[in-house]
Amino acid sequence: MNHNFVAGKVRLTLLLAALVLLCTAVASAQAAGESSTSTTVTHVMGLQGVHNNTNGKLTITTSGLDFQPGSGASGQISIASIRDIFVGSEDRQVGGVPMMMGKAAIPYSGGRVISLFSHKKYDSLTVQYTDANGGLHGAIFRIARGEGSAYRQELVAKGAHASPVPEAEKPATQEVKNETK
Amino acid sequence: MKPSNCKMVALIAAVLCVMALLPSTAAAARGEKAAPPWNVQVDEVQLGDVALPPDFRMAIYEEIVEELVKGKQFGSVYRSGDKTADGVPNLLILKTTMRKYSAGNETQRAVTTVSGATKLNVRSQLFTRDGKLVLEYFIDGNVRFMGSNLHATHVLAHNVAVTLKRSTLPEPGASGGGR
Repeated sequence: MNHNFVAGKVRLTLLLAALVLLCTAVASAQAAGESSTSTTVTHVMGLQGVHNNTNGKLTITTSGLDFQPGSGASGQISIASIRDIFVGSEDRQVGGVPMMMGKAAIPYSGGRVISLFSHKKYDSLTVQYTDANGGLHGAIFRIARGEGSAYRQELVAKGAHASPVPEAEKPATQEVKNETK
Repeated sequence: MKPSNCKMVALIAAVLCVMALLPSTAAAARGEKAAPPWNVQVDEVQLGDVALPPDFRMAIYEEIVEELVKGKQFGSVYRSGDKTADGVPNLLILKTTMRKYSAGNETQRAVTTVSGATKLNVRSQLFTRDGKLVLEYFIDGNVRFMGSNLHATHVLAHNVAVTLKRSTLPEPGASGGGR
C-alpha cells in the first residue's frame, strides 16, 4: 500500500513537470511568433525621440523594428518606412572614461599595453528610414558581432527594402576555402 | 511750484521716458534674433568617389541636422525629402559632398597616440531653392587621440555649424551671396 502511495506521488510529480514543460514550450513558441530576433543593443543615434548612446532591447516585430531602452521613451521604425539597411563592423576600446582614466594613471605608459587587449568588435546596424513627412532619418545601432546580418535578413524577409550587399562584403565562399588548403 | 522744481520734475520725467523706451528697443533687437530670416533643408550626404561606410554617411547627416537645430541660426531645419519644406519661404539647401575619408583605428590611437586618426573632409554648399550658390566651404572633422571613430562625424558636423554661423548670409530678398 505504501509502495502504491509513493508510485502515485512520483507519477503526479512527473505529470506536473510535463505540464510545466509544455506551458514553457507553448509560451516560447508564442514569443517566437511575435519576434524572433531580440537582443540588447546600443542606440548610437538617429532614432526619433530616443536619446543617443542608450542601451536597450531591439526587437523585430510584425510591424517593424522596436527599440525599448532601459529608461525613457521607446522608438519604432515601421517596415514600410525603411529605405535601406546596412551592416558594418567596428572595433572599439571597452570600459569608457573610467577605463581610459585608469590606463592614463598607469606609469611608464603601461596603459598602452592594456589598450592592446581592451578592445572589442561590434556590428553596426544602420537603418535608413523616412518619417511621416518624408524626412530622411538614419538610425545607427551597435550590436554584438555577427548579429547584424541576422537582423538585416529578418527585416528583409518581413518586407523591408534593402539594397543588395556588394560582392566584396559577402562572406568567403566554400570554393575560396578549398583553395587555401 | 518753483521753476527749479519744475525743471527737476521735467528732467526726471525725461529720464523715466528714456528708461521705459530702452527695454522695448532691446526686445525688438532680441525679437529680430529670435526669428532668423532663413530656413534650411539638409540634403543627404553625397559620396562622390569616396568609399565611406554607410554608418558614417548617416551619422554625418544626423549630426549636421542636430548641430544646426542646436545652433539656432536658421528658423527651421528640415530633413532631406521633408514635404513640409516645399512651401516654406526663404529656404536654403545644404549639400554635403565627401572629398576625403581616412579610416582610423581606435586601438591604434590608444596604443601609439600618433597614428590611427580618423579623418573626414567635406565640401559644404548652401544653395537657394532656385539653385544659386550662396556659400561654399571645405570643412574637416578628425579624431586624432581619444574617442570612437564615429566621433569624427560629430566634430565635422560641429565645424559645419560653426562655419555657417560665422559666415554672413545674404538678405532673403537679395539674389546670390558671398562665397
